This record gives sequence, structure tokens and C-alpha cells, in this order.
Amino acid sequence: MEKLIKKSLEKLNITIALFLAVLMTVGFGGVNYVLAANTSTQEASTAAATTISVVGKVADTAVTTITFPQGAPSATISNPYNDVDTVTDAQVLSGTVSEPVVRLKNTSGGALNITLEITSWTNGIAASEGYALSDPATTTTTTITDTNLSADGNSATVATGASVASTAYKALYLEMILSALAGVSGTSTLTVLGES
Amino acid sequence: MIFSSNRKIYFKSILLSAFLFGFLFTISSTALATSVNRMSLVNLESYPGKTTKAEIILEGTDPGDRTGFWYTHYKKIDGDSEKMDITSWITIEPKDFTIKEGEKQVFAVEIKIPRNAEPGLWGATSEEAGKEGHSDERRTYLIFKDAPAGGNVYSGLLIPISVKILPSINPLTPIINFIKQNIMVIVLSIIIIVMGIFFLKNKKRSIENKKRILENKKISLENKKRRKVN
Repeated sequence: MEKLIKKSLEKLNITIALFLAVLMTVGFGGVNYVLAANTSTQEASTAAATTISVVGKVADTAVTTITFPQGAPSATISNPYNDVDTVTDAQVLSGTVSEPVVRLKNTSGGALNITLEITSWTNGIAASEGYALSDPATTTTTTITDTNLSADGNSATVATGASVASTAYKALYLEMILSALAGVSGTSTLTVLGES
Repeated sequence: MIFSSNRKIYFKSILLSAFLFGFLFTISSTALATSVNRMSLVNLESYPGKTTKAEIILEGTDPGDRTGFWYTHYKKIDGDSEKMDITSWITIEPKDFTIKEGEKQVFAVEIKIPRNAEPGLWGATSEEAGKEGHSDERRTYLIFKDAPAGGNVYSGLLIPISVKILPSINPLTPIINFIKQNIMVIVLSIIIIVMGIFFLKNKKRSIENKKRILENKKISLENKKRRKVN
């Protein structure tokens, strides 16, 4: 009788061990119990992210330089022009027929907030510089705050708070006040930065 | 008659020329910018003393060459903690670039975390900073800007960057994680091994018992033989 109990206990032991081994195999194998096709494909894509293009007043041609014409020391220069439209088609401040110096075109897939950045004007040529942003259809821009881009002609980064929608344009007006120095010329770079 | 047909041909050729000219103009004015493959590099996870790496790709879309460079920028806001300006941790290689239309250039961004940096979010005030319209939560930026050759009018993009610094790595963490992930398998294995040991011990005992019985039988048989001889 004792023998029988011992043998049966041994067999039970083996059975349990085998059962546990099978359980482990199943666990490792990660058996999938999906019995029906209950999945569907999803698709998504993002639009391209590109910089804001600085283009001419009418044509979508890239502007390389913006030039402020010569003026008397301490004078306010409000008729800059770009190399695409040339000096013959400079910026105009007017209550009826205002025209920007350049247009900003958003070729990115989404709206972009505009940040303007300038480097310090060389040779102390500038006392200050200002900007205005508007819709290109607006022709009533008469004034520009002369110091909102740089209050002292030194480098500055200004978040304008203006946003340009995808494929839309903004009109950019610039104005500078020359320093009291006579007979000098200087340069600076303007950067139009976009932020999502 | 001949005069009228010539006129038609002349008119058609003008129309065709105008169409082709317009088409050319449209093509040349599609894009005058540079594309980037990601608008943010936020919530990058790292540890004190470690270096985190990322890649960023620019693609030229301007028909002409554009020359530019990368730099970092901190948008200072009053009351910011020291965690907001991480510009000194960031390097990007190559820094300067000239990109042609259709060309793709890969740039390697490295963020070296100082050993004494406390755990938490650095470079932005929120983990949401990468989402569109969350500009107020961004502080440190990676910026690229470029311009047509010889130009003084640049355009670029502000790419927010932030790092989530995690507490220093415990050397036992991978082992603990492995145990946590495989707890069932480990427990079952232990049970099987213990049962196996018991099974082997029992078998040994039963073999020994059998041997003893056999020896006893042998002894009893020998005793019987001896008795018979006597």
C-alpha cells in the first residue's frame, strides 16, 4: 500500500511539473488568442516644415538685400527698398497707398509665429530701428514705432506676436533712425524666424 | 484666306508662349526656403553626466544655394529658474552649411548633461512645450537661419529643445526590471526546480530502500542456507 501511494505521488509530481512546463512555454510563446479579424489600418502624415520666405512686393522672388537710402545724421529713413523691386519701388508709408519693403510668405504646412532678429548695425550708424507687420491687402500703414526692433541699433530678437497662416503672406515695413554720426555707412542682417 | 490662317497660327503661338511663360514663372516661385524634418526636440531623456544625441535634417527647396548656420538661443523671462537656459550644454555639427535645391544635410545634435544637474525638466517650463502654440512654455531653442549667397536678409526656424533628466542609474535597476517583467516565469521555474530536487531525492531514497531490501533478502537467504547446512 505504501509503495502504491509513493508511486502515485511520484507520478503526480511529474504531471504537475509537466503542466507547469507547458504553462511556461505558452507564456514565453505569447500565444495570440485573436479569433477574428478585428484590426484596421490607420494612416497619418505631417506637412513639411519650412522657413518663411522673404519675397518681393509683388513677385514671389527671394529678396537678398534691403537697403536704407542715405539720409542726414539723426534723420528718420522710412523708404527702404529691396533688390527685387529696386529703388524705383521703395517702401511707402501712406494713409491710402502704403506699400511694404518686403512680403513674408509662409510655405510651411502650418501657421508660424514671426520673430524678427537683427544683428548690431556696424559703425554706430543706427540710433534705433522699428518694424510693422500687416496684412498685404492693408494700404493704410502710416507710422512705424521706431524702436520696437532695436532701441539702440544693437542686436535684438523680438517676438512680434504676429502669426502667418500656411501659404499666406504678411507685409513687413521697416524704419530706422540714423545716428548723429556724419559720413559713415554700416550694415546689419535681418532674420525672419518662424515658430510653430 | 491665307492671311486669316496665318493670323490664327500667330494668335495660337502667342497664347502658347504666354502659357509657357506663366508656367515657368509658377515653377520658379514655388518655394524659396529651407525645410527641416522636425519642429521640436523636446523631452529628450538623459542622466547626469551623460550625453544625449539627436539628428536633424535640412532640405533645400530654393532654386539657388542658401548659406546659413546653427546657433542656440535662450528666451529670457523674468523669474526663470536656472533650469531654463541649457544653451551651454548643446553643440551641433556641422555648424555652418550651404544647401542646394533638393539636397539633404544631416546635423548631429549633442546635449552634454553636467554631473551635478538635478533631475527634472530643463530648457522648458512644461513637457507640452513641443506642441503647436505652446511658445510661452519654451525657453531654450536651436535655431538655423540661411540666406541667398551675399544676402543680408535671413530666414530660419526656432526649434524648441528640452531635456528630462532622470535620477542617476542604479546598477541593479536592469536586474530588478528583468525580475519584475518575468516574475511569473521565474516563480514557475523555481517551483519546477524544487519539485525536481524532491523527485530526485525520492528516487534516490527508493533505490536505497530497494537495495536494503535486496541485501536483507540476501542475508536471510544466506542465513537459511547456513541453517540447512547445520
